Amino acid sequence: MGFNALAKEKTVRIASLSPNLSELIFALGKGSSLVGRSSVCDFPDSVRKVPVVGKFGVPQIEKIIMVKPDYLVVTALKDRSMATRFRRFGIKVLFFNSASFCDYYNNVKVLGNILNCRKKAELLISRTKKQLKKIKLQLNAISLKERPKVFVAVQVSPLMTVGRSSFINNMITYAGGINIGAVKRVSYYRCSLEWLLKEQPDIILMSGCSDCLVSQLMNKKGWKNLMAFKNKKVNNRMKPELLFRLGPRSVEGIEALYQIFYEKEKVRQ
Amino acid sequence: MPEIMNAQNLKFGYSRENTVLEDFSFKVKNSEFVGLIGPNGSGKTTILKLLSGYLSPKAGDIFLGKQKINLLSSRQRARILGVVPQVISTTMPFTVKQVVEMGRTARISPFLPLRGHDHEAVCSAMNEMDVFEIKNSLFSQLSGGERQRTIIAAALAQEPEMLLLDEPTSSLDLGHKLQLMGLLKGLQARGMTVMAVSHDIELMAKYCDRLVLLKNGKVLASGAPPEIITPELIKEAYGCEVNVIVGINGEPLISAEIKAAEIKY
Amino acid sequence: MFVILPVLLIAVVVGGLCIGVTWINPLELFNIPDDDLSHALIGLRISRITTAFTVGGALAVAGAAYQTVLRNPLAEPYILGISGGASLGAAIAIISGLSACTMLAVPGMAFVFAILAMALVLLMGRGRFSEYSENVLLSGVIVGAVCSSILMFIISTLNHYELNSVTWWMLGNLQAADNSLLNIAIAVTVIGTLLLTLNGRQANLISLGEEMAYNMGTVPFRVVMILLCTASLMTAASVSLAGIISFVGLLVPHATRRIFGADHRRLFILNLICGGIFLTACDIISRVLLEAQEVPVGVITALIGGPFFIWILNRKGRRNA
Repeated sequence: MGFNALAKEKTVRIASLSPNLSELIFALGKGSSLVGRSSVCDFPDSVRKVPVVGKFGVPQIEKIIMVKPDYLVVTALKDRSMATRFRRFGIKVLFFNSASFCDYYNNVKVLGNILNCRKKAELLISRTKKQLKKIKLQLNAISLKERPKVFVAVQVSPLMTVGRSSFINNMITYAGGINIGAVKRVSYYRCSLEWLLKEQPDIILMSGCSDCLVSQLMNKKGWKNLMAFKNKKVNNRMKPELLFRLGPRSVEGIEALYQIFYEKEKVRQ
Repeated sequence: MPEIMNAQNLKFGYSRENTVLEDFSFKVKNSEFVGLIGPNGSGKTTILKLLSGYLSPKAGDIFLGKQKINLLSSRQRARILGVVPQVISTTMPFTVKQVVEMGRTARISPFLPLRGHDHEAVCSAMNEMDVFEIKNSLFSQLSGGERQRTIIAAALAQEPEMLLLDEPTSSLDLGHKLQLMGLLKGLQARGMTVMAVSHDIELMAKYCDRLVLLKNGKVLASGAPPEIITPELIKEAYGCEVNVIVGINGEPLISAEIKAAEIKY
Repeated sequence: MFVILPVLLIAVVVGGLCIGVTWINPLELFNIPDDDLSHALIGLRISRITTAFTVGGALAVAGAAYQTVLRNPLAEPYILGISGGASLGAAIAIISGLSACTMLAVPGMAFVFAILAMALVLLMGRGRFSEYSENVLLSGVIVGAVCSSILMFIISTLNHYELNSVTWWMLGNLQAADNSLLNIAIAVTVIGTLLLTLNGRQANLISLGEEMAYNMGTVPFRVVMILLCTASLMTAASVSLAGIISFVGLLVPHATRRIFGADHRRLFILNLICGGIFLTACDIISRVLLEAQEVPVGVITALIGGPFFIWILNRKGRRNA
């Protein structure tokens, strides 16, 4: 209660080193409280006016001290001992998990508290839940057998995909797909093309891959034998930040995934 | 008698400022047995490396027969000149036989296996150096003396016209030492030219036709052993007082002055 | 021992074809079902075995050549900074965005930088009076250190995604190979091994030291250059094909020499076969160790190779003692 009273007296200053947290701060309408961002924070456009104070997970101490934030919010920190160093300057370092939608709701709540906009936070959560429920209702009509098996290629060489512990697995499930990578209880892991050939996913997501790379793969031994490649069900059109960032736009991402999974004509021709 | 080796006005140094040899001239006649002696740092090993062509002089020429050594192909050179360096060590598991066979390199085509005569040369070299019994042992696991004998055998298998040896007896026991010197004498009788660098002055004096005494990269004296092994020359080269007596076979023997040693105590 | 090699060779080839995510009965290999998928699966495994065999063989042969020329038992294919140069090239391809355009960018840049590093080392190694091989070893370590410090700098500026790509590349990967690249690497490996074998007698002499080799009728500098350049080209080809796979080039030559002796006229070919068998076997293990997930093959080479190597050393050591 003590710091809430304090927060009312002056506007809270906050620095974020994660693009999803920066997006969330803007979504809560508190863009003006953001006094520092990471070099990869790029949404919404107005975030670009905020000075850069570090890279993703790597703060630049002097720059952060210069912008005098009350809080430094991160999802990852390369060097954890940094946190104690910032505390000495009166800057609280807050870690946020980003592994599931539960984490996301919790992040919204905590940020709502800090930024003194709990109502807005509640609204954001309930709206997200409502949107997810809507998709879920649509999915009820589709039996498990009809749901597509999905493979997410995080990177091609070496081949990496997402496992059960990643929020991306969460998103695919919400959108009505079955992530074939979910057999492993890890976030990201290296898999083999052979395994992919055995699993034969219906849809392959290659967000962020260039068209050129996709067409090269299409002619490569092994890859061209994947049903998804033969049926042109390889999608590299989806914006990577909608898929790889757990934030206020994740619902948008899930909707995009739903479109890819169930509206055949929109899949890459 | 023609000269097999003729070095003229050699100049050498390991860096620009440093000079080991200055205006060094040196001749070896056909079928001569020459011993190169001198104190530490007198340039013996450097001279050997220059004469073998491994180091190139800053000035001067070395003739091997009638040809300049640097104009000979490496194979031609190796057929005339066999060299036994001071130490050879390797971690590679070669057998003694394999090392001796390497001596044939200059005599055979690089890509073909050894033929009848090559095997004979290798066998007789191993027999002469008394390493035939250990021919299948690993070279890297031999004692120092066995190793030295193996390397000499490899040089013999080369069937050169002239043999350069750097301290060939340094790790040999008395028996093998005398055996080696006898062998070199025998090779000389068959027409080979031998030149050895050694610290064992008495041994050299006994077997060599000619001794060359070096000091600071210069020839101090050159001649038959009794002319070289004199108290005066030894004192000038090594800086110590010695007496020279004559052995049963007429060879000069050195007897150090006990007094000179006592003074130090 | 000579009988065991063909048996092992057949064993790893059959094993490589049959073992994997889906098990194929060895008897069915001659009677593959005529559907696309089975053909694709077999095709993938064939190219993977070929890659593993080529890379393993090339590294072992190169390692043997380096150990001979540098007369250093710790020498391995990456000691002359070739891996440092290749990593730097790969990192530059990744950060410059070239790798997003074509799959050939990373191996291409890796190869170019590996060759640059090699040229630099050989040029820097020229010094008077001391043995060339000693100078080369020193300048190789220096070039390697410089390359890796530039690489460290680049890594420190990378974002997470690119960092992952560079790190994964450095861990080695036998799947990524493109067919045309594989063909080049096979050609380099075969020609290189033949060239080294033809120079086997000279290599024997060089291993006793440059002066000894000189005295016995060779031109040491020329021999050293032939051996180093061939070995470096083979290393560069393997690194750009499959990234950095440690241990093969160090262990296999030692083991091969222990078992078959030091005669280089057959040592290089034996290394090609043994290195190929070893890496193919390690790759099979890396494929099946964890379900669906792949373990970097470099991890397996060290874990399996280390104990095996110690066993070889002790076994032979006791017999000769």
